[in-house]
Amino acid sequence: MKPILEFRDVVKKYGAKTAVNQVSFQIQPGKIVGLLGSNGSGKSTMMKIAAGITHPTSGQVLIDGIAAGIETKVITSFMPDSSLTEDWMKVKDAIAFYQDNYADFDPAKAKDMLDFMKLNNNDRVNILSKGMKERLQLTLTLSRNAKLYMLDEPIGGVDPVARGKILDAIVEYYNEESSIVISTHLLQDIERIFDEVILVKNGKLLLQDEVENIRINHKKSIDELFKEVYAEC
Amino acid sequence: MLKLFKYNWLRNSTIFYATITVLLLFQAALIIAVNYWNAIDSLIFAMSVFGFTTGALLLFIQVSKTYSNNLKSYNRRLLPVSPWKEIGALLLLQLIYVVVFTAILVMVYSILLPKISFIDMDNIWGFFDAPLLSIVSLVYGLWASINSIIFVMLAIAIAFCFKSRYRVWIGIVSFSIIIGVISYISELLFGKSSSAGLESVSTSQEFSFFVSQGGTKWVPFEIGFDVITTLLAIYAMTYLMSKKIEL
Repeated sequence: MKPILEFRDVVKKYGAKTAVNQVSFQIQPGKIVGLLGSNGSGKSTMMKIAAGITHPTSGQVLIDGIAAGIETKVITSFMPDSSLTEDWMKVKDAIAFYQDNYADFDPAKAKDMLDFMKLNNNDRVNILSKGMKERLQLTLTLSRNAKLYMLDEPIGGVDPVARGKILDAIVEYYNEESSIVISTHLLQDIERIFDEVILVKNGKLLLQDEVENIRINHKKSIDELFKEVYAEC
Repeated sequence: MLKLFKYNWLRNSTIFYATITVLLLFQAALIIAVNYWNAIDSLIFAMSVFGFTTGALLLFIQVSKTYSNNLKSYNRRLLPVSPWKEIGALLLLQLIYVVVFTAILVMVYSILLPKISFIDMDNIWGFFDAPLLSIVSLVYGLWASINSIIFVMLAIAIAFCFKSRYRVWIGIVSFSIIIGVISYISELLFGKSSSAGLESVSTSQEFSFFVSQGGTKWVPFEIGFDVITTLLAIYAMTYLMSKKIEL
């Protein structure tokens, strides 16, 4: 089966600093994958390269067999750790922006998600709390019928109640025929939804395996393994 | 491209409407001052020109800022659109601003200029009585405005290739170098002061199109050179946006 996301010997350098160091992996369709690592391990950089908004120094990134670029942005829905909206927008303007510019945007799904997230169409984006902004970003991202979803730290910096709501929304509205990659270092809440995990440290890939295999082989949860691997970070 | 233009317009609509409103109120005040308060007409004219210049500069800067914001916005950079559509949407915005601005300028000065003692209205009306000249002037003005914003945008694109706190200075230096090089090459090819210009001939009913120094034979080549440099600038921008500018 053709992988939905493939990194081939990808290197990304920012001056003297190597953010991504010879990373290679594949993600198959229909998987929920956790991209795990401590702060500064290269997770966000890898996601931005896959999203086509950052370019690798060397190596190749393929989305459904196509090199990351304008064509792959059609089938990739990325939620960065920064704002996806503009300050002048209301919630309805943000929805309209996505509907106008993405052919795979599902307005009915968006309306459903807005109700689920308790977001009001006429709310100004710049007065939303961080948790509410995350909910809106997730609504915009998951309302597309993409082949690959990438969520960069979707639960970082939000309260436990909002965290639970966001995770419930991911499980509820995720398209099961697509793959979803979630980067996080907050594992306790999110571990339950992963099929596979990829561990990165200092830009290098340490481990890629199914969650069940890790539990069987290492006899510990992902959270415990994470703490062990990143203890000195 | 039109969808991108729609959101560029919406983002800037408040600033645009506010600028136009303040400009109109300011010009209206000057017209009232010169008509009813016996204000010094040379001062009124100078203030009117200042008002229009400031308004035009404000809108020009707003378009440049919009391009800069779009280059660093995730929602724009994630869109599956070619860079030339992003550029085209901003040029369309600039074009509309210039057309609206020009219409306001013509409207205001049709009322204000007859009140300015040192303005020879026969010359002004003569200009509008020569439709070809009016059209050529309008087209030239629009071209100059679009051309200017393209080179400013190119300088911004070059600056964004660098993740440095000196980015602004890189942009300023890039712009200066680009304009300097183009002017130098133009001078080399077509001679000094080679730009086509307009000069009013103070005969009774006539205006004439006058090209300084180079003569009319170089005009098509100068226009061609202008077009080529502009297209090269747009190509350079699309390349930088596709391959070099990162978030």
